[in-house]
Amino acid sequence: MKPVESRPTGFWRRISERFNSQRNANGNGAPADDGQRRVNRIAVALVAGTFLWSLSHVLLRQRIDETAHPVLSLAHWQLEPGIRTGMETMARRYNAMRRSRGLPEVIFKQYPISEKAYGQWVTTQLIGGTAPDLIEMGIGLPAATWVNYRGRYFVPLTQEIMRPNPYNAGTPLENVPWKETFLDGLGNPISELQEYYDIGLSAFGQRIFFNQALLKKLTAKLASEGKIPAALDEPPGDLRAFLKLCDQIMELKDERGRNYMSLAGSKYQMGFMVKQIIDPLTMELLDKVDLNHSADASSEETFFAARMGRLKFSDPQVLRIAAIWKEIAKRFQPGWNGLDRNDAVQLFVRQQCLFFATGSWDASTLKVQAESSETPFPVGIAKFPVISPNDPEWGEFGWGPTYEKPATAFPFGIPSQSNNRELALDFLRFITTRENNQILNDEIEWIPVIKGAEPKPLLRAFQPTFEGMYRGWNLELGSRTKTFTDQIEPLMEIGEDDKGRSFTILDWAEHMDTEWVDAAARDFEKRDEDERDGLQTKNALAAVLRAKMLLAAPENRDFHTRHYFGYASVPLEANKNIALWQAWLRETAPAKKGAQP
Amino acid sequence: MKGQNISLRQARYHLSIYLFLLPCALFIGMFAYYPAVNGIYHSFFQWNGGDVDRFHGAQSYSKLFLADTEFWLAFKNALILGIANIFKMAPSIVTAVCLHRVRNARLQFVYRVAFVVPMVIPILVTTYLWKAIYDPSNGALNTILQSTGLMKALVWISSSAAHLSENFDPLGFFSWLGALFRAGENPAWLGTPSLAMLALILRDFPWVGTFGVLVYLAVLQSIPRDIYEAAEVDGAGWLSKFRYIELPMILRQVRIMMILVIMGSINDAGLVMAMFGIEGGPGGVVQVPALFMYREAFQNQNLGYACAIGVVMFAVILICTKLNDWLVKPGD
Repeated sequence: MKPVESRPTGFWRRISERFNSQRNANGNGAPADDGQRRVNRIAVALVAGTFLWSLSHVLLRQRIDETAHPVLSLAHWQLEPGIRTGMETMARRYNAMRRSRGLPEVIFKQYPISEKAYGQWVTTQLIGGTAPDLIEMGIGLPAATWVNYRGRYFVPLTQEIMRPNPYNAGTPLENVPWKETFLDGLGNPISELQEYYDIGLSAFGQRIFFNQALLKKLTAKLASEGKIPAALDEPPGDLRAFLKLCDQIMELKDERGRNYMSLAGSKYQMGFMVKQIIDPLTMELLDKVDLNHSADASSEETFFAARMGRLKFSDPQVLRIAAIWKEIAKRFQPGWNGLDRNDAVQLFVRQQCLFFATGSWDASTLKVQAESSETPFPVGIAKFPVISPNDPEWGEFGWGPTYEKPATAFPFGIPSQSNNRELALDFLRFITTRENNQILNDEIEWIPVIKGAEPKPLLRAFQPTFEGMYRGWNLELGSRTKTFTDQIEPLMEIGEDDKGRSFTILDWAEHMDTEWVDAAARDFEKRDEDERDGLQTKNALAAVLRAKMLLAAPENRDFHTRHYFGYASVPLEANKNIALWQAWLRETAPAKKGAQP
Repeated sequence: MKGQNISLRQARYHLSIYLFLLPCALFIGMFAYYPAVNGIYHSFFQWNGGDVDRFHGAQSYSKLFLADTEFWLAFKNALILGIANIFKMAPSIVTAVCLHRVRNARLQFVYRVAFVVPMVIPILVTTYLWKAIYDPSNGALNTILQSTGLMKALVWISSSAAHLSENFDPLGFFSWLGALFRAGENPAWLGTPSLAMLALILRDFPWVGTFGVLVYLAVLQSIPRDIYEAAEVDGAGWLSKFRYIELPMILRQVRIMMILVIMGSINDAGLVMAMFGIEGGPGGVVQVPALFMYREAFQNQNLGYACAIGVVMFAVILICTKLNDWLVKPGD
């Protein structure tokens, strides 16, 4: 290729000429004529114009909106229509209140983001500095990441929740600290940060949903065949009777000649059945597992109890519990463990399945789906069945219902980058008065979280049971134990392995006694490392809180003193945990080869 | 076009053109090479992706090679999938040849378009579609098997295999086959441990990979007509034409596709995760190396170890690619 002489006519012209000369030399085309140049210029102008318009739109958008009214934006992952309209109702009521006080109305913007993309979306917004004023927290990212985000990007609300909610003036909750107006007192602060960062708006619970019409119809048929005494309006509360009814239903055929399924299931549903029915049966194991006598079986204690041999999965008692577990799994439809939550929902809505275990968050959606299906049907909600003390085989576990801890959910936090922090906090205060929280939850059909607010009749079935059994083991020490149990439990529940050979409860117990303990050891190692890594931060935070206490103005000193003394035990507790764990590790270490017993 | 050596002085003259390449090179460096080098660097650290970053030498590698049986089990699964995927390339070769031999240009165009359209559908969508097909209660596969009577044949094969396994069972194959299908039961393709791998392999049946068809077709269409005419004069039939004209021509593309298939079998975590969940199916029976790496990185927060897994995967892919180059030699 022959180089073209450069002419002092500017950089771009030189480049253009060189390309054109090359195209000519290669025979790939001719230099652009005037017409082409004009088209090119129009194209460039179009691209540049579009870019400038977009840029100005993005830069000016916020400013234009905020000139007349403040803008309050909130993001959540609840795509169900009830939640959006519920929040809109709250926005309308909030604006009505502001109008009555002569304040400018607020423009509300909701960003409902899909659950699957929520974590990434929040991360992008927080890092990019474009986060909305209120963000729902707790999904799409590991729990530890949410803790980091809270510390880094969100406003601590500890001081605010210790003061009364001004919107409760003139109500029985007047002068009650905002925190104490919640059913669970907002639980504990984030342990790593010792601050409260989010305000929950609803409470959740889990129950068995059932197709009332289908239950009546099928049990009437069973009654006419003399298999049960009478048609039922709700499922039996006794586990054995419930499972027997499931078996009888599975023998009945629908109009198309297909067998009915009793429990619509997937891994998601099985989780509820295990949590609500199986886990509480382990309460007696607490004697062996609760090493520090706190009346609670932590995952570390479960690991050490198994390592010490105090807890053996092959113990007859555990095997009997696993047998009940397997009995429940048999009542799910074939192939349930390969399906998703939505597949199970479809089976229920199509009226192929009678029962369906899920949480209160699904209640309104299921009701709407049931009412709008081809043959509408009423949805009933019942408690999980329990074992009767008179049960011929399982009577030893007949201790009554499962204890349910009330806990706030649907939590919102305020990003520190928000320009409307006060407004966001004010809105949170407004929607957590007894009246407004009830209206909000009535609309979204969830359970209110403020003391004295009543759930809708449909949701009364979700009122937590405060007296009952609770679990005596905790098998999830970390991600490795979770993966292991997620892999091994289906084999036990289905009863076969990858080679098609039988996989019994004893096989499960054997794997748990060896491989689960190994997985737990690795999870424990990680937890121990994390605790040690976090010590420095905890000590530093304690020092900061102490400094705040010492330097606080007299009117705030009381708060900071309580805060410091509340936190001072955290690093000490961490040190104590590490020391205790190390002692347990030493005590439970396998004997070295050749060592004297 | 053959490359030409130029002197540094001439290169300086073309500086502006090299400048145009610079942004591209920078982005490749930033988004492809930097993370790769960073990954190799962090494979020697105990790194949680955040504040914990401690050098611990080659501990990750020694643990991976000496202690982590799960990782090598994942490679065994990848090997099974890789071999199956190589066999699954055959239908796209046959389809490309058939398309190439369609005489009517308009009809060929219609067929080509028909093959391009599915490429527009995201893989995740087809994966969820296959999940629905595999649904044991309402899925299309079981419905077809039941309504055509094929299920009875499968049950017969299974029961025969079960009988056979009592006396003769090489590598447990017959006992595995014997447990797959049972009379009166709809197979749970994704929920039964013994069927999970089969379900993963059967996915995308009839395996007419659209991309492969288009690649082969592009090469086949470059074969001059007179070669076929000469072959016909010599009395070549349709099989001979394939054997002596078409197959040698597309062998280079077959080799490239094989490399992609091997890489996909080892590197693809998304497909298994979408179909079976992050635990890799019941009992972890369909766990592949990439899924194992993903879990180590984002579930166990063990990113340093995940980097070491990535480096080993890279090495294995490199070896497989070289083996492939060595075994499949396209003619000139």
